[in-house]
Amino acid sequence: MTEPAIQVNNLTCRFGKTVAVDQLSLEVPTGKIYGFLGENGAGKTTTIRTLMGLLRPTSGSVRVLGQDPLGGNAPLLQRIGYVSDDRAMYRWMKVKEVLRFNAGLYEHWDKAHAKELLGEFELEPSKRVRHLSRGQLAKLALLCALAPQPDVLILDEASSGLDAIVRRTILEKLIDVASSRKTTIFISSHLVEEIDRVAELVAILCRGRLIVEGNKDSVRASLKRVIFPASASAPDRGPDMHGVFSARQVGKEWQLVVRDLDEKKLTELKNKMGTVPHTIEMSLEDVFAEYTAWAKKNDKDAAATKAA
Amino acid sequence: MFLTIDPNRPLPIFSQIMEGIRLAIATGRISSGERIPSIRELAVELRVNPNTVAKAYQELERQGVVEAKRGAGYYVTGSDSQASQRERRTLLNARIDELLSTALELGFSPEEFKKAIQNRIEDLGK
Repeated sequence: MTEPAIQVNNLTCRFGKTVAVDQLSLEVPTGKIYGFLGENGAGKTTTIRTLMGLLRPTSGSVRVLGQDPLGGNAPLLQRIGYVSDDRAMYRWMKVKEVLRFNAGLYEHWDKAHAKELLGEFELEPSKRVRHLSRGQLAKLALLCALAPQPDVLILDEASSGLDAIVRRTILEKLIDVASSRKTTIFISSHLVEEIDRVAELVAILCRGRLIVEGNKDSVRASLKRVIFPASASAPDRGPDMHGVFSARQVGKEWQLVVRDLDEKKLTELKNKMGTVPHTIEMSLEDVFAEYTAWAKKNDKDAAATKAA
Repeated sequence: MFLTIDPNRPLPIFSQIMEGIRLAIATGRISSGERIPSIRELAVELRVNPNTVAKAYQELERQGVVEAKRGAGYYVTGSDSQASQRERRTLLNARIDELLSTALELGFSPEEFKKAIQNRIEDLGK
């Protein structure tokens, strides 16, 4: 078994009284595309900043390619491609100057590949960075992350706020890289549809905590919608049962979202509701929304218990 | 491209890929003996994880819809009319199953379902 490309062990990051990341542990296997899902402010960027050695964890540790990224670990950073959420760039430089500058920083900068990407991304070499559109800026940032032939590519909201055409170009490139170079890709996003397409593994983060992690199809299948048709004997409130995430009445039928639905749970629900339900699969987007809402509700309940 | 993916459908992406390939065979857009796109080609085209495409292809191979030729990619099996007939039937059956389960859920008996279909066909014939 090869070593995971990224390991996060009990990572906690505090800023004053705010806990941005809370006891986070996860592993990204080598060569996989890993989708890091969370709302804005869930702690994705903070986690990524620790992976890049830009932020010291309050406690816990991170390893990238088996090494600690802290303390300006230059040889390690040579092997990581990084696109930050703000896509910070030297605004006064021309595109070709940015490339020349980056080429000097990276030992394995592939000049031919950089040139190829420049054409593919339709970037004008003599244009100044400050005159680039958001989309062009994003593509330039991706180019700079790919040209050094990284073993790990870390993308923080790389396609958020961009138009559909640019997003498509970026995703196509990521798939291309993943299938040809076996690069490990860690991609954070709040765009669930994108993660659903490209990722093989996903994690859902809420308020700094990991809610669920694993193979994308298993995470998706871990929640099911169970619909009970209207009936005279139906109860006037949802069942209070372990694993029931949410219950709401739509018209006269009851729609429940149930975690890890099995025969036993289904029988128990049938008895409680008094009708025979049908079960439907949910999209990853719906699953993400349900987990997030559930985590928040738990927080609220915990706070209420504490107050009482 | 002959197939599209919609992540908002509750059907997993690998099943959508399988369905798309089957549909393309049924309607004759890919014929038997023809090579289907490579895993990488289709992954980039659809912007989905290459392993997802690989999973769909392996499953199609297991079901005998395509066969892998070493180092040459995946090809549609069987003779032309066979392959298209087979896929037309598979897809039709899948839709009938969906309809049937809706009918049963609505409380119709299989007999009533049969009758309803027959009536519709006769109505359309008028």
